[in-house]
Amino acid sequence: MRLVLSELSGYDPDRFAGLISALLLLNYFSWLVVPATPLALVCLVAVGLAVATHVTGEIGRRRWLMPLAVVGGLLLLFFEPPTDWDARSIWFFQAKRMYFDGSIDARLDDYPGWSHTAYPSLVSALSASVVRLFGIWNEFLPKIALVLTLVPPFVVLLKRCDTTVARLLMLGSILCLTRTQLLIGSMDAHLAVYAVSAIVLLREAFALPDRNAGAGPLVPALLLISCMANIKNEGTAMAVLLLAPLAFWLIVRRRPATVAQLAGIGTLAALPAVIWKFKLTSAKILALFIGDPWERAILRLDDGSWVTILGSLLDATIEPLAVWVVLSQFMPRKLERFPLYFVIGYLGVLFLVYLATPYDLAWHMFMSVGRVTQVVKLLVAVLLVLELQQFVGRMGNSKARTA
Amino acid sequence: MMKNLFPWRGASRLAGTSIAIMTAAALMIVSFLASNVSLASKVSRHYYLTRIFQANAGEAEALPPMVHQGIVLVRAHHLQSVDISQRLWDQVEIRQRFAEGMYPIRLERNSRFVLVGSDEGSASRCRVLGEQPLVRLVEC
Repeated sequence: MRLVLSELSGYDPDRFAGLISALLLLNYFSWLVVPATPLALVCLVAVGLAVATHVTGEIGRRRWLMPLAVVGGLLLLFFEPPTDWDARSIWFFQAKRMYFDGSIDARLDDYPGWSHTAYPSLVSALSASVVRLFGIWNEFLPKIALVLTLVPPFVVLLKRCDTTVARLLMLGSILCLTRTQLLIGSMDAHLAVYAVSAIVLLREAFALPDRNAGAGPLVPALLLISCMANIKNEGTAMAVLLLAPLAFWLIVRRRPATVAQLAGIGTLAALPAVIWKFKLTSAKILALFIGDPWERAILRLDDGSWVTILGSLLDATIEPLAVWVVLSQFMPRKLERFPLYFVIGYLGVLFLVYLATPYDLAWHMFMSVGRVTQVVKLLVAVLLVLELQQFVGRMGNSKARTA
Repeated sequence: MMKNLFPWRGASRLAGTSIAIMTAAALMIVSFLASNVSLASKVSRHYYLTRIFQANAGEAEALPPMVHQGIVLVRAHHLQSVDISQRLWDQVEIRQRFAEGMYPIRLERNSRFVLVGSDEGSASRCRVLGEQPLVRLVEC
């Protein structure tokens, strides 16, 4: 037993997160391309075994937070069936259709019109696999996918915490900021956690000085980014925002062999999103672009609605941004350009989306601004925890030297 | 114990601050748990242990009572599609919950089977197939 545990302790958590992300993507791919085969079930079983192995390894290392988060999360899921509108009408309904229809293609009939057929289904596909494994549909089993899909980002973020205090603070701040969002079945918090963990990995990779270093944290980062693009449509925009500097950095800083390896992995990881977009285009289902988005955008620029959009976006993000700007002045790394670029870019994308929305602007913003800007709060919290850890570590070291 | 928590030497002066941070983190986790567990007010241990692996478990709690009763009626008659009365259709939440709750049975406007509120009248040519306290299933 000790031998097994010591073997497990050799695992690199980033690679483990990458593995789970790859399995999630493969599960979604199998629902998209070969739904009649048992590939989706194989992926689900592999995800379950990998998570169980990781949890056992963490217990072996006497780290209790991840096991508690997984087991506690699974127990919490069964307290109440999903009642959130997004969860019922979009995400679990997608899973229900995939389970009963036996494929994802049946959804392209756009039934019923309000369930946002165009949205991608990474988490719903895993829910459908869980239900297929048990052979019955109820309101609880599909929720298991909510916890399993959270494992990769949590593993990445907790790996960066060196002390129990930092791990507690990291987990505490994520759970406190997302509250019930992670377990009710709305995908915004999931997407936010994925985005933050991908940013943390990229930030670390960008800081690597050695041009000849291998792919390092870039492979798990690419896989997490690909997962993001398949969780929600905003995830696609976030993925583009993260991939653009990554591509530039790779071309400038890395050896061609590493670039080719990453390009291969990135292409494979992008397949599910590309296939789904292709299916939607073939079925003439386009979410945001109903009517003429340009005309709506120009109209809203003209009638001053853009001020309302800007005001709402700033209102939702000004507090975390202010906290970040002020506290980062006391931290080892000052206000970092890469996360700041992401925040500004993402807010810009949201601004354009609201400008062109086919829905009533006031209603759309009221329903979504708080949820889609969650990523900014989470990003600030996670970066501050990581910086605080370094800050306290340096203080401790300097005190030790003085003593 | 303290050495495990704070790996650097001479950390005792920082211990107070760190314990305060740890307490804050623990409180945040407790607040998360409280907000999620409070959802479980209606759940008994019996429910929790026995119904997780039952088909359609949780439906009664998740859906409005009228919708749940309507779905029970439709399932009992093994229908493939059903319509709802105009009054129910006009209630957006009821319409949406019917559509997703009873899937794979489809909500179709031209179905001859119609769910109507128990306080609604139905055309004389319609025959009542089943009844629940809040809803009736008729064939027209």
